[in-house]
Amino acid sequence: MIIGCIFGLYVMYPFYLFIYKNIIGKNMEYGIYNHLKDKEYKNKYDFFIPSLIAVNFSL
Amino acid sequence: MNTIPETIKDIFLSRGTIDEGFTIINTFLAGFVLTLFLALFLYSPVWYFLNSGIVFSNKKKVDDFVDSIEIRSIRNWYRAILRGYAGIGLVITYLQFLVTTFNKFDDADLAEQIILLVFIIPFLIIVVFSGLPVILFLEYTKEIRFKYINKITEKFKSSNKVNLIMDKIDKK
Repeated sequence: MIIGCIFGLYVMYPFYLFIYKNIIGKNMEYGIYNHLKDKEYKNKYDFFIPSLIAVNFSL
Repeated sequence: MNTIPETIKDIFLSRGTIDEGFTIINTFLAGFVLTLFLALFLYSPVWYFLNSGIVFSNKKKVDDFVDSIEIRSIRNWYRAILRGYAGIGLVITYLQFLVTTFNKFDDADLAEQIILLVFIIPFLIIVVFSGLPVILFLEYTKEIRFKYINKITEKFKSSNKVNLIMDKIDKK
């Protein structure tokens, strides 16, 4: 699980950013809203989604 | 030579009177360890996008049109796909799983079927909680994560700060 998170951060995150900027959102303008360093995640349901995906994969 | 699923099956195989049904459950649990890795690999960027605070606007695209300008998080599109898969996809697959498992237990007596019913139905709910320790991981790696995310964001060249200015429409 932890390895998945680490790989997600170092592999998938930059890869997806690259794909999004160059292919999907080519004509968009990008900016930074704010760095949410000390804020919590509002939607706690989000933390269940990886498990649900994993259940779906393994079924 | 055994294939990978067969090897996993052998490792987690429980011998019993209703052997075949237990094999399904054990294979599922063995597979779950691997798929949880894959699921977090795919889904964890959604949290990182939120941390990075990168948003995009369609201003350039709709400048010559009547369409309204939208500012959205970069993660929305990706998240919508995965949430759809986790939600609707899971319900369909889970029903299939229930039907297959109960068919395998056709020969079991009433007591075994009741135990099975009590175990299988809340099974998904119990399994879903297994992904929650990720919250601890995210909390403990906060500093390292933000450092890396900021580094990537700088490379992304989106250092423009977004100012949200809206005129309030009020009758009073």
